Amino acid sequence: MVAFVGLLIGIIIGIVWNVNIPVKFSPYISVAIFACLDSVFGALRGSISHNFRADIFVSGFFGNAALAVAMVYLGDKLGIPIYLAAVIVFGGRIFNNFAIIRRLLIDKAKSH
Amino acid sequence: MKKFRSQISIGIICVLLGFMITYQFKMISKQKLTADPDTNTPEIITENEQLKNSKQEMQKKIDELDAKTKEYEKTSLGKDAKSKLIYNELLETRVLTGGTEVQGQGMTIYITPKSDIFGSGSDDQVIDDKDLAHIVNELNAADAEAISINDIRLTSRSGIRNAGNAIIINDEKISYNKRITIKAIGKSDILESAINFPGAISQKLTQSCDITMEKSDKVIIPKYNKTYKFEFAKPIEKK
Repeated sequence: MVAFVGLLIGIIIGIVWNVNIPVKFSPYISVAIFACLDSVFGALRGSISHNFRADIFVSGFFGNAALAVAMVYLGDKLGIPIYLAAVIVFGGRIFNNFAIIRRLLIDKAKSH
Repeated sequence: MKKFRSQISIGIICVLLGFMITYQFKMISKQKLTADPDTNTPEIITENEQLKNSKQEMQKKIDELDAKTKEYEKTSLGKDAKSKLIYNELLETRVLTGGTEVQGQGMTIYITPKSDIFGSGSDDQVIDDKDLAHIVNELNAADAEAISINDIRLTSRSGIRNAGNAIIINDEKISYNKRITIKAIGKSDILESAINFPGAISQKLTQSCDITMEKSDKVIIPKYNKTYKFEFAKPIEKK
């Protein structure tokens, strides 16, 4: 519930507030978004299987984003698209987490 | 209390995520809007097509006019030996200045850039203007009578030079990372030995490109499509 309210507030802030982030940071932000989505899915899975820990979620959220951004930067400097590694890993994990969430939810629905 | 704090942290993180996602959405839609209408790809493609068509039409007109001048020349050609001599000299001068299409024995050199393994360095300049100029110089030294690069006829006033992201020859652009064809008419054995001589083709070019050559009895070189203008050079009349 808190998550949805937070998301809504964030979207409203994003629409209303006109901050200027230089365009060259655009790829960094998109990879960071992907990393954050991954940790949110991880948190969702954790909360459904009742082993959610806020500290791990928060550190994962910022850590993943920072690592992904660092990878984009390094790839930019080396001329190799390393960010693809981040995108593939995070994408795979999102699907993985979603599969587990699905299983847990269906099992729950069946047991009731 | 602990539950409350974790809830708050989740809330804050979701605010951040929502903000980032909407911000990125806004940025990308803005980028699409601010894309310059002049650099619209479909428009450029259609404009390019139109220009190509008009070029072809103009080429047709040039050919027609050429045919007409040839007729005039033939009709004005008298039967006496003097006018025949002058006519032959005119034809020879035309070959020299690139005024006519010529054919004869010679050779063709293909310079094909090697494809990159990673495919990332395709924007790099693979073929240097100096390398091309050097090859042309070697061909000229080996008594080539007519030379063309990518079917652009080289004349005594042609320059080969980098400009922007292309090599410019006779005001025409050729790409420096695509295949380049150099044709030369002359005694093919001499031309071949001149090109095969060590140093005729720079080492850098042999490393970055595949160079193949082909001797042929029938090399066709197109004519130079512009008119010469002499603003400063005037012949000296001897008294």
